[in-house]
Amino acid sequence: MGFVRIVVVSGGRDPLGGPGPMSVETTAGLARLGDPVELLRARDVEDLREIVADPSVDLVLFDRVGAAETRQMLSAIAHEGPPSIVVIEGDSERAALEAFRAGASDCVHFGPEYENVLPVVLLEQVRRWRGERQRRVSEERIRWLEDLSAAIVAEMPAALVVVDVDGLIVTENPEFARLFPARSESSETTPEFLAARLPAELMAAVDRAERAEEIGETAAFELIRVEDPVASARAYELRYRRLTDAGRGLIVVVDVTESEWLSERLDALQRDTRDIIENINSALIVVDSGGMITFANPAAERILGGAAGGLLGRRIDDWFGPSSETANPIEECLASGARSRGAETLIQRGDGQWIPVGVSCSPRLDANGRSRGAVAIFQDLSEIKELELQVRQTEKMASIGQLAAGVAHEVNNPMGFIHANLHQMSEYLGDLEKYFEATARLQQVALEGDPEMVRAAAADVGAVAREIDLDFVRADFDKALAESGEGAERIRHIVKDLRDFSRPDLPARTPADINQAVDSTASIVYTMMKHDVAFEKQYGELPEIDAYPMQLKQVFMNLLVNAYQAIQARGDHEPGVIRIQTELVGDEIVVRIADTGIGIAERDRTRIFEPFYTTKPVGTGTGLGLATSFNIIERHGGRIGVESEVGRGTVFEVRLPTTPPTPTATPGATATDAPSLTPTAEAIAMPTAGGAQDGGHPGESPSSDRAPRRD
Amino acid sequence: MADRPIVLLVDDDARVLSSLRRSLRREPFEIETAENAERALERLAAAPRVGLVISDLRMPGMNGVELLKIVRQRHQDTVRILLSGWTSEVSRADLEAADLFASHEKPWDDAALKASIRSALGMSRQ
Repeated sequence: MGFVRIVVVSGGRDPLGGPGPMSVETTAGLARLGDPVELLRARDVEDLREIVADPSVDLVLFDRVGAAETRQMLSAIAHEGPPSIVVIEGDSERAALEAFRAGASDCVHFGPEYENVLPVVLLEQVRRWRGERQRRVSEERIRWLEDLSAAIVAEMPAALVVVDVDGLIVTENPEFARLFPARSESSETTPEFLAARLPAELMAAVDRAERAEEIGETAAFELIRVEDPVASARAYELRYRRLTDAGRGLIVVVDVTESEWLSERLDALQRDTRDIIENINSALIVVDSGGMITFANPAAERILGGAAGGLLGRRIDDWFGPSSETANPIEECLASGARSRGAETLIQRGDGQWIPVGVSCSPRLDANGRSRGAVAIFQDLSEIKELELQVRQTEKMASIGQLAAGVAHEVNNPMGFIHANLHQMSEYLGDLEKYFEATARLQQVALEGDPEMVRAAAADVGAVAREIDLDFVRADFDKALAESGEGAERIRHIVKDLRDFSRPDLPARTPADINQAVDSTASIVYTMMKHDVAFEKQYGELPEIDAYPMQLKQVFMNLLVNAYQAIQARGDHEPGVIRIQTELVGDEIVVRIADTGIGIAERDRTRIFEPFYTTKPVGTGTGLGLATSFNIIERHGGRIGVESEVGRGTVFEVRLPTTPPTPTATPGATATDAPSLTPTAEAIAMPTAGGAQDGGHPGESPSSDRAPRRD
Repeated sequence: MADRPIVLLVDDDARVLSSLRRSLRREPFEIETAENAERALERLAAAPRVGLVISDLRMPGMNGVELLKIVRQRHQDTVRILLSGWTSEVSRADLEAADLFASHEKPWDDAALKASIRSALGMSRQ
């Protein structure tokens, strides 16, 4: 039994006022227990109460304590407390009865057999108490376990159901009821009840699990996908466990749709990211804070020109040169910690060739904001630069094509009447020839002096004059000559305008009068528009700026042709107005071209400067005009903007700085700038278009001087 | 004089009208002119009947092909000739709808134009 812990309450008092000494008989009796005894002494009720609170106390022994004190102390021991034995002096039945009434577990008479009886009674009480104590602990444990399992079953995010051997639901938790709610049409008392609530795929899996258990092949769990005709597919994790009693089984279902979906998404995301990095046409590299390459995708190896894996560990500086045109934006990014976007620069590839690239660079920072290096994306701009050149050329040809129709018409009109007049004048000359012959004959016979002959010859002259309608011919000859001269003048104008317009740009910028550039362009396009459009011109005083005038004229022509087409697109034959305005605002020259056309829809407005974006019918526009214009204005360090209202009209605004940027300021400028429009291309392209001017209509011909003016 | 056919010339360029009048001065028909399509339609609606319209293409307001399309609808017996500087901008469908007797380009050939007119008016070549 091990130690027996006994509290002894003794009667009497020791000389110091403490509890009285234990009797020799009690000591002897305890010695006969056979088990070691730990004796605890209680002086008073408080002492006792405190000691018995310890559940390991086995017994309280009242060793001949006075009746009143015994009663008091017995009542202090709770009912659940340890057993108590009262030693009674002599053979008093009355005292024993009193002790039992007060709650004693047993009584022992302090008689001759006391030493033998005490250990027997004591042991019995201790055994009983220890059994009782064990039972109480077990019960508490069971209650606790029950509470715990109930809480787990209720709160677990898993659907739990216990089914009996017939497949009837014994119990289920709230999650099961939530996931698989009972349907009214099935009855709880049939095995079909479960089948009615579980999706078919899950029910089949339960059957499989049950069979597997029977033959002892248990799987940890099974993942089931359930296709739902209404909602999206769901995924469940199913566990089955045969419970020991009576063939009952526990089914655990966890809805893992979300985590399945997340892990699938994560996988897909990782795959996508890898695919993108591997397959993008841009070079992607990661460098550490020292500029050492730690990652490079295949495009990086292609563009930077290294063997596979050959870039790792190399310094990024190796590709850049010392000058500003070959600056290294990655180094700047590492130094400043600032992002850069699309900086154009030149890199020297492994084969020694310099190529234009666009570089975007972002710093990588650790949690404390310290630089861990940078991520950079390179774009090979060689092809784009090449394409830009082609696009610019194509666009120019397209503008010229549009111009050609107008020009041809304007030239052919005067050509038509000059041609017809010449033909007529040569007929008149033939008529006059007859008259001259008649007068020559008259002169001849006048000299011969025969009056009859003279009279006859004079009559003949009169007859010829009548026949050829001499007065009319003389007057009309003059008129025809004057009109033809005017026609020739018209053609001369057209050709002059075209020549002004197409004067090729020198490779370098030249001082340009923007008013002149706008006005000569307006004169050219006016010939094709004059029937449908009135021009309102308002030119401000402008300083000359260094520019590529030919390119600017191309921009103005694009804007004017667009304005014209916008007016035509209204389709109402009402005459439109194109207002051309120039002014100096601060250090910027502002050119506004406003029309009363159909306007540009909001959704198109953001895209009109994109190459090949067009809202015009097929064959009308190339979609390159505004994109080219945008590039040209950008090359001049300027901006181009648009405001528009559908149905009311559009205003394009070009802003040019009076002090244009120095060409070397932009890296890669050598590839984009002057060579784009070669003088040769201009000289060849323009004259083939023919020429035109606003024609010779009396009273409406704009003055031919090219000086800035206010209309 | 009364039974000479009437030819209506339509062009916004007075110099073209003037030179055509000059060329056709001795031809056996009356010449009338209009400087735009609207005026031409007004004249066509009046008497005496116009036998032939020769119209320019590009004019302010209604263009020549549209004019001749309307002429075809309203005045079926009036023959139509287009005289233009640049026809490539006119759609084939429009040209067919106008059902032209002939089309001449500027600068025009005097003899060919005269021949066209005579033939259009059903006159034999002189």
